[in-house]
This record gives sequence, structure tokens and C-alpha cells, in this order.
Amino acid sequence: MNDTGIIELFFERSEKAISELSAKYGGITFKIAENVLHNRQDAEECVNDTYLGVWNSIPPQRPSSLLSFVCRIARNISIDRYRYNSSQMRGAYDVCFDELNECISSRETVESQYAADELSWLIDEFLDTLDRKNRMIFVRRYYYMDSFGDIASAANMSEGTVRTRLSRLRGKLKNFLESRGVDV
Amino acid sequence: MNLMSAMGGISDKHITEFAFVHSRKRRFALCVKIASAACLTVIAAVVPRIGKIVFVPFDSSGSQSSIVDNQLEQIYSKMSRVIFNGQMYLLSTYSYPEYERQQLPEGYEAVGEILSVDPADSGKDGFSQGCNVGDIIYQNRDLENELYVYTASHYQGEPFRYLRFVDRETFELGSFSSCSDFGISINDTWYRRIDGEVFDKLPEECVLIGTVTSLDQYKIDIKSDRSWLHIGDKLYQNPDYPGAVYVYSTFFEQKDPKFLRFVDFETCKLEGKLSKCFGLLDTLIGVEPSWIESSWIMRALEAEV
Repeated sequence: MNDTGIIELFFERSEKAISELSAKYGGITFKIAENVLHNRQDAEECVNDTYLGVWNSIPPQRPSSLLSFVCRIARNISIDRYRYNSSQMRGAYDVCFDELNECISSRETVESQYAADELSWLIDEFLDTLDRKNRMIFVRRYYYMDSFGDIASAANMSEGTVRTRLSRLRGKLKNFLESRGVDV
Repeated sequence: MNLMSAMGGISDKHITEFAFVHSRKRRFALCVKIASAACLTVIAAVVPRIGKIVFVPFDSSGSQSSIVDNQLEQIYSKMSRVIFNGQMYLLSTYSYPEYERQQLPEGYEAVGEILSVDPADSGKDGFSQGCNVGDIIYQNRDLENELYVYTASHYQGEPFRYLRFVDRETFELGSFSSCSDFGISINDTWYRRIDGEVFDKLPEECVLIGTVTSLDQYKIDIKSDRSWLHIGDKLYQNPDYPGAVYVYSTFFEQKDPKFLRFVDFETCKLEGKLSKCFGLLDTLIGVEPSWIESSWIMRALEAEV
């Protein structure tokens, strides 16, 4: 079923909407949750919470892209769950957080200058400057929080190359943010 | 506020663009399984078509004497090449780093694999030990004039990685522009000398258009002080035929000065003389590249017009 049809099912409050959503985007939802949580049971719960979140959001919302809508909800729910669980262990989110924060020295300064949306727009702009492969590596690492191994496999390169490339990309991001007036 | 949170707000297009990525290894393994199953069931019917992607190794039985004007097809038939999607891609052999890389350039993705290798040859030549069935073919969707094949074959103890193959036009332009022979650059157009085109007299329509202003010292023969071209040599051209220039060369001064003729790429093709530009073919067909030191190779890089 196409996305429009699934959204219509949500508007009709049909329970079939969940099964169709699960059939189409269950895999990617689980992948995001598992990447963040590294725990199958927690990930499955997050997937269910994501479906509930979509159910509660549509209607009234009518997303232009159901896929990204689901991904956003799954990512936010997974990160919230991770924060809730995680006082004890460092997981993928912490690691990715630390990697990316090499690009900014002072969170407070950034926060004072840029609202979340503005920084997201800048990252969008930065992503547009990258070629497709680098963009894929960056997005899969810092949006989907894939492991280096998974990215290496998808990009058909070694893990070391992925690490090196990500390091360079972070450097590029830092320079990019600097050039846009962000105090890094 | 942190960058990881900001990543959560990136646009839909970036989220969806890479929502579904798969391990290429797994995908190829799956492709191989599917292809194998398909082959088993229909092999008898499709045997003639399996060779759509074929690596054709160099024909080592050929000899230099077979290279004559307008015999490009013959030349290509002796070269290592890949037939992909019905198009011929020739091993880009005109300089060593050109055809062999340890790493794939950015922007390339797997598009297929070698399905068959010409059984008539071992696949070895002066440049490579060939490709093997199953070697993966990579292409950049924006650069369809070339492809790379990843191969585990070795050459002189060095591991080959990605072999570069280019389409016919790219190969011909590369051959024409190769530094292995000499020519003249005039207003960014490369004019190349064609073997044997030495004239006692200048065609009547030609007029003086300039002089040679610089030479590529790296291409001057180290064993001889004789040079085909010198700074200050005069350039002539027929204004109605801008595809060719003539240089008054003193190279033959022991007899008489002669006029050397140089042509641009289009003219060379139109006159059917492209095969004469394949100087490195000596090496291609297995002759030791001793000529590199014993020939008079030089190149006039610029001419003032």
C-alpha cells in the first residue's frame, strides 16, 4: 500500500493502518530503535510506542513524507528511552553525541545563538554540500546511528575508511558551521 | 541544544534518502544465489546471452605488424576489455596510475559482476593478469564513460585492486592526448604529430601563425641531443583547415629541413589516422617498453599564435 493510503487508514481510525505501517516501515523503525538502544526488547517496545505515536499524531497531522515522519518519532522515542535507561552504560547515542560535539566547543554558546531548528537547517545545508556517498555515511551515522561496521558494509569500504571519512566530515562540518557564524 | 538533537531535525529528504541501505556483500550474495538459480533453469536457452558482461583479455598472439591505419577494430580486439550493457570498455592503459587504483574513487557503486571470461585466453597480458568471473564492476552513474573492476589478480607481486576501463571515445581521446608522443598545444587544443607525415614543402595555402614558445623538458630524450622541436620553430596553418598545423623542423637538418604535420583529435579521426597515435600499443602487445629511453620523445607544450 502506498503512503497516502496508509495515512487515509489512520484518518479513518482503521486498525489496519498499524498493520500496514508495520509491514512497510516496521523494519526501519526497529533498526533505528535497536541502533540507539542495543537491546531487542527495548527496541520492540519503542517500535510499538512509535506506532502509538503515529496513531496519536495522524490525524490531525497529515505528513508529506510518512517515512521521515515515522523515523523522527522512532528516533525521538528511542533516544528518550535510552536516556531513561541509561545512566549506567554508554551506548551508540553517547558515542555519536561525543563524536559530533567535537564540532562545537561550547554548547551554551551555540544554544544562545541558534535555536534547534536553525542548527538543523545548517546541517541540512551542510549535507547538501556533500556528495551522495559522504552524505549517506554522515546521515546513517548521526541520524540512524548505524555502527561503523554497518556503514562500511553498505558503502562497500573498510571500517577504518568509514572512521577516517567521518572524522574528515566532522572537520568539514566544523568549518562549515564556523563559516556560517556559529561559534565553534 | 546539541548537534545530535539538531540532527533529529534534518529535512525529510535527507532522512528518506538513506532510510534503506543494505550491505552490498549480502545483496551481491543474494544476487548470486538468484542468478545461479535462474541460470540452472534456463541455461540451455540463454547460453549465448550470458556473456553480456564479459572480460576479454588481451590477445597475446597478436603482433605489432597487424597495426595499420584505420584498423582500430583490430587493435581493440587485441586489448583487454569489458563488455558491459552492450558497450565496450577498454583497459585504460595509457599511464600506470590511470588504470590501477588501490581505492575506488568517490561516487562509484557496484553495478554488476564479471559473468564470463573469454576462455580462449589465460587473461594475462603485459598489464594485467585479467579479471575473473565474479569480479565486481563499479560505475559512477554520472560518469558512464568509465567503470572499475575490482579484481584480486596480481601483477609483478603487486596486488591489483580496481582496474579502470573506459569507453571507446574516452580511450581514443586519451590515446591521442597521451604524453608518450609529442605535439603542440595551441589555444588549449592539442595537435599531435602523426608518424610518417613529414613534408618537403609546405602546402601553398598555409600561412605563418606563430612559433613554439615552450617545451616540456621531461620529454626530451636523455640519450640524444637531437630534438624534433625547438623553441622558436615556426608554425603554419591553412586558415581553411584549422585542424592541422605544420612546423618547420630542423630535425632532419642533416638532409633538409622538413615540415612536420600535426593534427587535432577530430581531424585525426576524420582522416582515419587514429591508430597511428597508439604509440604505447607496443607495450600493450607485449613488447618491452625500452623505446621510452631510446626514442626521441618530446613535447612542445605551448605555442604562441
